[in-house]
Amino acid sequence: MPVSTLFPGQLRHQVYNMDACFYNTLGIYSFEAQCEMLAEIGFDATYLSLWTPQAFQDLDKLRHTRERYGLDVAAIYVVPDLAQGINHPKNLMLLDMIERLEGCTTVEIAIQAALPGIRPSDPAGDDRAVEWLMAALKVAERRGIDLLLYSHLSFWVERHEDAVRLCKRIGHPNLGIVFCGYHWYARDGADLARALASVGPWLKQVNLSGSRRDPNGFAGVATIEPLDEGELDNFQLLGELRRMGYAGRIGFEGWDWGGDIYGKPDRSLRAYRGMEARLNANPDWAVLRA
Amino acid sequence: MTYKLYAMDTYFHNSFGVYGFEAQCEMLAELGYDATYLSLWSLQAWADVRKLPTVPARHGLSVAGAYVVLDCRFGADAPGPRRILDLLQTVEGCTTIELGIQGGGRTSAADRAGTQDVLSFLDEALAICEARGIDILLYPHMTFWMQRHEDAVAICEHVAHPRLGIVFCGFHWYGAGNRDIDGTLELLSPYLRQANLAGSRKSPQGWAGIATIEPLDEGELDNFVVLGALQRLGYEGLIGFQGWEVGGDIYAKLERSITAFRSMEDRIERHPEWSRLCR
Repeated sequence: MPVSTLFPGQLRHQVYNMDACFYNTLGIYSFEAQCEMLAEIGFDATYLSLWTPQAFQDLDKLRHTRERYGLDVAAIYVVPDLAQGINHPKNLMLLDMIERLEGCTTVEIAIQAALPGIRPSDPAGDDRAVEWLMAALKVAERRGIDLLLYSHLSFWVERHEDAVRLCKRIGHPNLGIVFCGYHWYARDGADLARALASVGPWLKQVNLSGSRRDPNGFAGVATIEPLDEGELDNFQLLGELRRMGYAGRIGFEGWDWGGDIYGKPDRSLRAYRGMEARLNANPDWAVLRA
Repeated sequence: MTYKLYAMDTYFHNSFGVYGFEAQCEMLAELGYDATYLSLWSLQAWADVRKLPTVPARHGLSVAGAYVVLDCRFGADAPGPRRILDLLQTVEGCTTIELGIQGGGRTSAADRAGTQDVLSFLDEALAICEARGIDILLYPHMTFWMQRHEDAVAICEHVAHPRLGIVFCGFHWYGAGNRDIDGTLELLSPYLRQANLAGSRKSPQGWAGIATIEPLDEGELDNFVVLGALQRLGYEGLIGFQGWEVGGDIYAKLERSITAFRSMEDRIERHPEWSRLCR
C-alpha cells in the first residue's frame, strides 16, 4: 500500500496529480515538463491519460519515470467505448496496451458507452461491459495489473454504484474502484459516508478536486478547481476516507486550467498537506452535524 | 530576463468608483511595480495627465503609457480626434500613447469602412509624434472597430511609420478565440512594443459576455505559455497587467499577479522548454 504511516492515527498519503490539468486551449504540456514540474512541487507520482496519439507514445516513458524524475506512475487512464463493439480496434488496442504496459500497475477505466442508445447507468449494458472487462482482467491478472473503474459524469459508468454493481458481479481481485470526488459531487453530492461505504470493499485509489455547481463548469454541471476552492468540502471528504481506513494514494484532478498551471497543483498540494495535518491533529473537526 | 512591469489602471476602476491617481501610484510602488498607466476615460483622468511628469520623482515609477480611444465615425476633425491630437502636442512625462479605435456601427477594420478616417488621423498624429518623440501603439480591443491584432498589423504595414507600433493584449487576443500564440507574436513582431496580460476564461459572465479578466494566475488562458512565447520572440519591453471589475482587495490582487508573474518568469528562465506545448 503506497502510504507511510507516521505513527498510529497519523497518515501521510502519497499524492499524484492527474495530467488533465496540463491540457488547455493553447496546447498540452510535454510528458517530460509535467514530470519535472510535479517532482519539483513535491508530488509522489504522475498520471497519464491515453487521449492522444502522443500519450500512447508516452507509454514507453513510464518505465523510466522513477529513475528520471523520482516519481511513481499512479495510473494510466483509458476510455473504452464498448458501444462500438468489444472487438472494435480501439477497444482491442486497450487490451494490447495492458499486455505491454511497463512501469505502471494500475489502469483506470472510464467506460464511456456500453451499448448504443442506452442512458448512463443503464444495467442493460452490464453484459457487454462484463465481457470486455473479463477479457481485460485475464491479461491484467497475468501481468499483475489492477483495473480500477472510474465513474465519470455523462459516461455509462457514471455513478459509483455502477462500478460497485460491476465489481460485485465480476468478483475479481484485480478489479477495483477509484473514487472520483468531482464526479461523485457533480452527479450526486449527497450522503458521502454512504457512497464511500458502498465502494469501500473495492476502493484502491482516490482523486479529489475543488468544485462548485456552476453551469459554466465542466459539462455545464460543476467546476473543477484547486483543492482549496469551491463548495465541495474536501476536508470532510478526507475525514470520511480516514474513518474508513483508506491509506492509498490520493490524486488531484484539474481541467480547463491556465493562468499559471504550475501554481495550481502547487496550491492544491499545499492545501492538501494542510488539511491532512489538521486532520491528524484534530480528527473530530471533520465530523459535521446533519 | 527580468521584465519591467506595470499595472493598467483598469484594476482601480470598479462599481464604487475610481482610486485616486496618487493612491494608485503609491500602491504600485509599494508592490514593486516599475510603472503606472493612465486610461483617459474621464474628466478626472484627463486632468491627471498633468501629473505624469512628476510620477518618477514622487513615486519612483515610470509611465508605461496613456490609453485613449479614437472614434473614427466622425472624421479626423471631430472634437474627439482633435482632443487626442492636442494631447500628443502637450503631454509631458509619457512617450507612449496606446490607441483603441472604435467605429460605432462600423464593427471591424476588416470591412474597411472608416479606414480613410483612421489613416488621415494617424497621418496627422504621427507627424506630431515624430516631432515630440512619442510612440502610438495600436491597441486591439474586442468589439471595437480595430478588434483583431491582424487589423493592427494591416494598419502598421500600410502606414509604415517608425513611431507606430502595436501593444499585444493577451485578454483581447484570447477572448477573440485565438490560440496560436507563437503565430500571432511572429506576425506582430515587427511592430510589437508593449504587451499586457490577464488571467482569463471564456464565460458569459465575463467582460462583454465573452471572457473574464482575472489575476494573472487564474483562468484558462495559459500565461506561462504566453510569457514563454514572448521570451522566444526576444521581446524585452514592458509587460502590463490588465484588470477589470476588480474588487475585494484590489491591492492583494495586484500583489498576487506580480508574484505569479515573477514566479513564472523564474521558471521560464530555469526551464524554457516547459512552455513549448504540443498541439
